[in-house]
Amino acid sequence: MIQIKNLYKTFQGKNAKEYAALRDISLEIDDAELILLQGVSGSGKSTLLHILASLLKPTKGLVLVDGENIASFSDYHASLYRSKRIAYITQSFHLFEELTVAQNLLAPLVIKKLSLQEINAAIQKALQVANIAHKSQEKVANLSGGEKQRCVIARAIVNDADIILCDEPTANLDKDNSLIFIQIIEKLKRAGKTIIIATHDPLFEELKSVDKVFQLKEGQLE
Amino acid sequence: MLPKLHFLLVLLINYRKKHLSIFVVAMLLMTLLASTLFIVSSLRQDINAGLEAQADITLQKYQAGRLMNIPQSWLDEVLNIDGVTNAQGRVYGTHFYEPKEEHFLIVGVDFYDEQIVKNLKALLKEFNVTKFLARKNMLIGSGVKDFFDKYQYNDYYIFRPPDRSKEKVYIYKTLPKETALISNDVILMDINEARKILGIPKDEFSDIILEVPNKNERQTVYEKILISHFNSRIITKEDIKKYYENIFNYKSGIFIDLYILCLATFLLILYQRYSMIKTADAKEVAILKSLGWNIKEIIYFKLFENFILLFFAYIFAIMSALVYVYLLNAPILRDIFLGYTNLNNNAHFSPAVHLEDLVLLFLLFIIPFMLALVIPLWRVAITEPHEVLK
Repeated sequence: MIQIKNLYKTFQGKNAKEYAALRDISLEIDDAELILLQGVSGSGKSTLLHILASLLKPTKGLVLVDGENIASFSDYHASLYRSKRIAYITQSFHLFEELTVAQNLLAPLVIKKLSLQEINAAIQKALQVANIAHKSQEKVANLSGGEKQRCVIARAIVNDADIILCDEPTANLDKDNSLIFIQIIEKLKRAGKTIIIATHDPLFEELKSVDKVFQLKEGQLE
Repeated sequence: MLPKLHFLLVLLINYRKKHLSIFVVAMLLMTLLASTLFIVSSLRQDINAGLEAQADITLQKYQAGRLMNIPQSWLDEVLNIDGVTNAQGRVYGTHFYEPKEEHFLIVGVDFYDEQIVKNLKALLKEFNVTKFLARKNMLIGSGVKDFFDKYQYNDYYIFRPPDRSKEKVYIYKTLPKETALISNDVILMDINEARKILGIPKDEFSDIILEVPNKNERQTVYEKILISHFNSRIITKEDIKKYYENIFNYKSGIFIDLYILCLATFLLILYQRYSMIKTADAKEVAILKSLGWNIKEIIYFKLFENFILLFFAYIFAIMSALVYVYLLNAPILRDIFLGYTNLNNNAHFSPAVHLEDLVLLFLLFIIPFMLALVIPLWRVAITEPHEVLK
């Protein structure tokens, strides 16, 4: 369960002026829920996801994941938390373009105490779920946008994380590929994953499996 | 560890173009430094071997700061000093070839005397002195040989002594190439012939060399000569060694200064590369961080990545330096170290590779390189990656 209480995040802008990206956010997300975070660009969706991924520290407030305040984690514990619990999917992929799809999936696994056989088994499983196994030996640079996104999904889920954070996942995809993405997301929800999607893609609004929708405006929940 | 190493190799191989510039520059710098070390070691080894064969003490006469000829009486005197087992007067001087502004060192030897200089002793062991002295002959160093060949002096050369006569001296043999480092511009001939060409009177020498086998007695001999001849200059074998070492230390010192300058520039470039947070490296670090890698793991990983890169650059550099110095005889660098104000020296570098040199080279390069990486890497690794990942 994720609980956010009175969360604030301010950044130092140009001319040393501070601006608030998030203001007094409080929300609760149950396990295995599919959540939509909506709002225009700059409303604070990505900042909230980064805080949930423990990639960014909040200025004030609590972020409790199963009762633990991840905002107070040291770098070591934050890394451990990301490695075990978080799958992060972004619109700009952030893949190693010169590596193959399968080689990209090595990155989150090599820091775990797994043998090469266990790593290969996990990679094959993730490739199947993300529907990209047929391109496993293809260099990422040669893939289409939809295939790259599926590679990102495979990399995100390869370590069996239970919280999946998606930041504008379909922004660079056409409608067909976006639908494929949604199918995969529904498959993951059925598998019991907690999924939070920050998007303004109308395709998600038609999704029946969405449990909650949060609207963000200028850093505040509406 | 094995999966991480596997991933590291996968990254290194697939992103080889990104690392190519660092690899090439590192390899070139290390090749340059390794070549310098090999050349200096080789020269030091050859000169030490050459000097080991020289006389223990060399005696010269000075007057008003000028080198003068030594009278025969000095030779008789030093032979009577206890501890001196042999002494020999030498005649030498420079012959200047004006059209090309080159000079040769003419050394006159009494071929019937027992030789003090061991190299010469070994050379004359299987040498037919009678045949050599049957006419005016000379032994020439390999630099002189090349020069004579170039200007068509195939059989003989005509010297012009100070009395304006002509002395036609035949080329008998070339001195062994292995001795080129010290015999490159040398012409060896009979002492009387040398006297005539150089205009040195019959009862005078250029210097006297002494054999003092007991090291402990050398200082006493030195003092005895100095007491009876205040105007003498006494040079020990160790002095000559120091002189040559100073020459090569000076040359390699200048070279190492230049090298440090290049290395510093290179490290600065590297430092800048890793300091720039928006570069591909910063993005790579941010991706790894988002996938659960902690700062320590990232820093170790990137350091190890660069270490592997440098290690291979080092191996390639050592091999290139070996080929460059010992197979190709170090073109360009050879001229810097051997100098060619006079005859071009054809000396070949004899193999002198020492483990301590290789370790020193490795540490001299790897440690500053790694230090230049740690700070910017750490700065990149501790930066919150959300800006890069946005």
